[in-house]
This record gives sequence, structure tokens and C-alpha cells, in this order.
Amino acid sequence: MRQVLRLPFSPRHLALLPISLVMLLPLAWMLITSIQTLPETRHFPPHLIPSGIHWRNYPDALNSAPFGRFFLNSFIVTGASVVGNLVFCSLAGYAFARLRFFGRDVLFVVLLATLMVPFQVVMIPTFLIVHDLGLVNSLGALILPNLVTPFGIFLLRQFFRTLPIELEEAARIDGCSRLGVLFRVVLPLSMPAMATLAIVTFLWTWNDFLWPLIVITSPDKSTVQLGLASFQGAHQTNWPQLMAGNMAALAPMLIVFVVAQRWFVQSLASSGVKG
Amino acid sequence: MAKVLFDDVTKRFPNGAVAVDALHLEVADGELMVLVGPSGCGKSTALRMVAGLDDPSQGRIVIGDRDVVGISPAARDVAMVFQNYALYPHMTVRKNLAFPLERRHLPRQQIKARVAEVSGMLGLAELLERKPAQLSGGQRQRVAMGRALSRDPIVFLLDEPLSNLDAKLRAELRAELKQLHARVGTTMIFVTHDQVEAMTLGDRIAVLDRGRLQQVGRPEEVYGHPCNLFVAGFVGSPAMNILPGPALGRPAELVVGVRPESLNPRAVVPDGLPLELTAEVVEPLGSDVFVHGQAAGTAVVARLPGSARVSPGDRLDLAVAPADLHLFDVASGTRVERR
Repeated sequence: MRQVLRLPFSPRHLALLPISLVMLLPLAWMLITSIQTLPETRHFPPHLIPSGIHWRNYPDALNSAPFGRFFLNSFIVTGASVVGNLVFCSLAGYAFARLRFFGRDVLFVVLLATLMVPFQVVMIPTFLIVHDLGLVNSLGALILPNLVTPFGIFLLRQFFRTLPIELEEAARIDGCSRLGVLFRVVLPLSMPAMATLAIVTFLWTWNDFLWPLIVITSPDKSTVQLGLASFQGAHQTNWPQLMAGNMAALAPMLIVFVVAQRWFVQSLASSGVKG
Repeated sequence: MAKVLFDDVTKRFPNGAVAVDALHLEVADGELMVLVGPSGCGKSTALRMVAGLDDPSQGRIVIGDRDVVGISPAARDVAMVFQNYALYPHMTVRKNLAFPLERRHLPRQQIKARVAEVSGMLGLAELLERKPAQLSGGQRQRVAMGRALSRDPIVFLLDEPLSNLDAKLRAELRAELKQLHARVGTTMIFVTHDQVEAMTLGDRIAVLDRGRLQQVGRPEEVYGHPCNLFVAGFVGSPAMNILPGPALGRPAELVVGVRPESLNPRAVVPDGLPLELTAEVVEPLGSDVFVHGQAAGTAVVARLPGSARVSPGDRLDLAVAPADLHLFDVASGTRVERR
């Protein structure tokens, strides 16, 4: 018999490993910079191994501005956006997926088309609307435009359409209204898609910089990302403190990802229906 | 319990296809009516219209004394068992059984008692804490039945509930279903494409083809007196043999239908009409032998006793009693009484 050479890993990993290293490099560099001294960070070529660990950068960074307030603001805005997206996108997505109404498909195409419009194009009109609503320099200005997104509607609509329609029909016969079907049958079965939407919305909102920069003018309404920008001066940037602040800003995202990950992994158990 | 009336019901889909065409059918209170026909004959659509999942384009659907067109599925007090069971995958068996009761806001004690009663009746007591994914096909089927039973609906709708099961289990559950119907006595409408299922289950069967009702009657009536060539060919397995009239001494404007079991050795029916069958394929089933072959230039199947010794290539001298002939008009396909 011919001996087949068996590698202890899949050949695919040969390609994936270097790619993941490239992906990790900026993160690693950020972490390293956050524990270096200021002169060290200015060295060229950069030192990838710090001379010592300067944890002080972290308290210094967080004490240099009201970061507690910034974090709270970011949490309020992000939390409201996540909840808003989950509620409104699931309602709209379900309507597009299952209800029959005049102009549904045309409307959906229009909705998809708005995904192609860059934010810079709608930035000024959105600002004018927010201004007319009297929301400039308030957290409402950060929440309201993000409460429902075309991407979220699209994502959930696509997912809802993969669920067996018999489950919904059975629920209707069993006594559910349309909303009852959505909340009792469709959404519990859509946890992977809901978790995805929650994570994506969290990342987008948490990391958003441009829109808060436009509508927020006072520090007590600032988000973390605006706070981090204060480390970057016109003539000098305190890189270690900026990166320490970045690491702190990254932590909530990592936590959210780890928590929601199991929903990602959990495959849809649609086996109530014979496949 | 209630009767169900299809009053001239037509269902036309937006693309113009007519799924159900002027269906008029009354299902009596407590009856087990089987709608049977090939796929695409409109039987499932008819059922869905009773459930309220589709609306008729024309006509009325009456449950009890109430015209239900336009009434939501929830308000019709019907229960449905789906072909793929449609159990809620995120709920345990107990939750699945209780779900329709909870949606009707019954007191918790009553729900508990009802779930216990139904699960006992269907042998599900051991499985109450499992999720549908952990059940076998037959168990899922029982849970689906249980969910329909649990709230005591006035009409049961069953859409090919046995077709995903293997043959043995199907036969078992068919018998259980019949017992269950005898016990609960609720009006049931059962949809199937399997004419054996239809014959064995139904108090009456309604044969549909391309959206039109062909014949309705007790199984033995439909089998014994098919009203046209479609019903003759569809009901019965193997299907009825259809021969040109002259092959059995009938005029050319008629075709003759002969059930496979009506073909016997000439010695058994000496005064029968003779037919010579050249055997091509022989299927011994133990109790019977199916002989497929050619007679009078047509493919013919004969069902002979299990003791018959036949080999491919044999020429069999068969005969059929005149009383066993079914005559149909060539042009219209409708049944013609004896000539």
C-alpha cells in the first residue's frame, strides 16, 4: 500500500496563518505602543519589544479627560442603537420577508439602493434634519439616525426567508397574530442573525467618529472616540496614551463579541421540520 | 365538532393558475373525509383554504354554520398537522403541546392537565422534555398530532401527515389515526396523494384532478364504480387495466376497464370474456402474483393467486366476468352503464 503523507494541519492553514498574522499585527502594535514610553514610540525603526511595561499610560490616559462620561455616553448611544436596530429591523425585515403588500419588492430594491450611498452624501441632509429637530449636541442626535439601518433590514429579511414557512402557518393556526408569530416563533429561531446584527451595530456605533464629531460640540456629550481624538494635537500626539485609550475602548467590543459568539456558532436548529 | 362545506370554491393564483376549480363538497360532522389526487390537483390548496392560510378567489367556505372566508386562521378553531410536522424547534415537546392552549389564555392548571392527557393518549409522556430535534420521525409525527389534539378543535386538517415516514411506520400510524378518529369523533379532512391511504382511512374519499372534483363517495363505491377514466386509473393498485372495447367484444366507441383481480384463469370463469395475456414481468408477493404483460396490444396487469406458477414469456388464458367490466366513453372518458 502506498503511504499517504498526512500533514498535522490542513494545507489551507498555510495560507490562513500568515493572513491572520497580518491581521493581528496592528492590534499587537497598538498593545505594545500602549505600554511604551513616549520617546520609545518615536524611535525609527520602531521598537517592537518595549524596554519595560509602563502601565501608567492607562490611568494617565483615562484621567486626562472625563473618560468615565465618554464611556457612559458611548454605552447609552450604542445600547440604544443596538436595541433600536433589533426591534425595528426585525419588524421591517419580517414585513419584507413575509407580508404581501403593494410595491413591496420595489420598496425593497430602493432600500437596498440606499446601501450604496456613502455616508458623506447624506451627512449634511441628516445634520439639517437633526438640527431642525433641535437635537444638535445631544445624545439623541447620535441615536436617532442609527435606530434602524437598511443593512439590518436586509440581513434579517434574508434570514427570515430561510425559516420554514410552515412553522409560521402552524403558529397562526395555533392562535398567534402576525406579531405573535414574529415574537414567539420567528425571532427565537433567528438568534444567529439577531446576534450578528447586534454585534455589527455595536461595532459601527461604538467606533463611529465622523458623525459624533459633526453633531457633538460639548465634552459632556462626547463619546469615547471623540475623547480619543483629543490625544492627537496639531503638533504633537501622545501615542502611548492614545493607544492605551484605544485598548480601553476596544475592551467592550471584545466582550460583546465573546458573549454573542455562541449564537454565531450555534447553527439553526430547524429540525422541527423534516428537512 | 362541525361540518365543513366548500360552496363552489375556486382558487386562482396571481399568475392565473387555477388550483381549485368550482369545488362543491360537504364534509359531514364527525366524518373523516380524504381528499386524494395526484400532486398539483389542488387538494392541499383546498385544505389551506379551510385553515385560512389561503383565501378562495370565489365561493364560500363554511365551518359549522359560519362562513369563515376572511376570518383569521386563529379564529377558526381548526387544527392542522403539516406534512413536515412544523414543530417549533426551540420548544420542548411539552411547550409544543401547550402552545396552542397558552395562546388561547387557558388557565395554567387546565393546560397542564390537557398536556398530560394528550401526551398519555399518544404515548409521549416520556418525551415531554425533549426538543423536536431529539425525536424520531414517528415521534415528531405524534407530537404534531398531539399539538393539534391538545386544544380540542372543531375540525382537524391533516396535510399528508404520513408521507415522510417509512412504510411500516406509516401503516402503524394509519391504524392509530383511524382509532383516534373513532375515539375523538372530530371532523377530519385528510389530504394524501396515496390512494391506499385514502381507501383505508376515509369514511368517504373525494378524488380531485387538476382542481376539479372527480368523484366523492365511500371508498368501496369509488373503487367499484369509478365515474370516469381518471378515477378508474387513479384508485386501485395496481391500476385498472384499460383496453379498447373490441378487445372484449364491446363497440369501438367504448373503452373497457378491468381490475387486475378481475382477470382469472379461463377455467375459473368458464362463461367469462376471454383474454390472452403474454407475461413479461412476474412479481410474486406471496399472497398474490402480479403478472405484467401484453393483451390485445395493450399493457395489462393481472393479479393471480399466490399459488399460480407463471414465468415470463408464458401465454395465459384468462377471462373476465361480464359483470366485472367497467365501460367508459372513449371521447369523454365518463362511465357508461352496461350495454
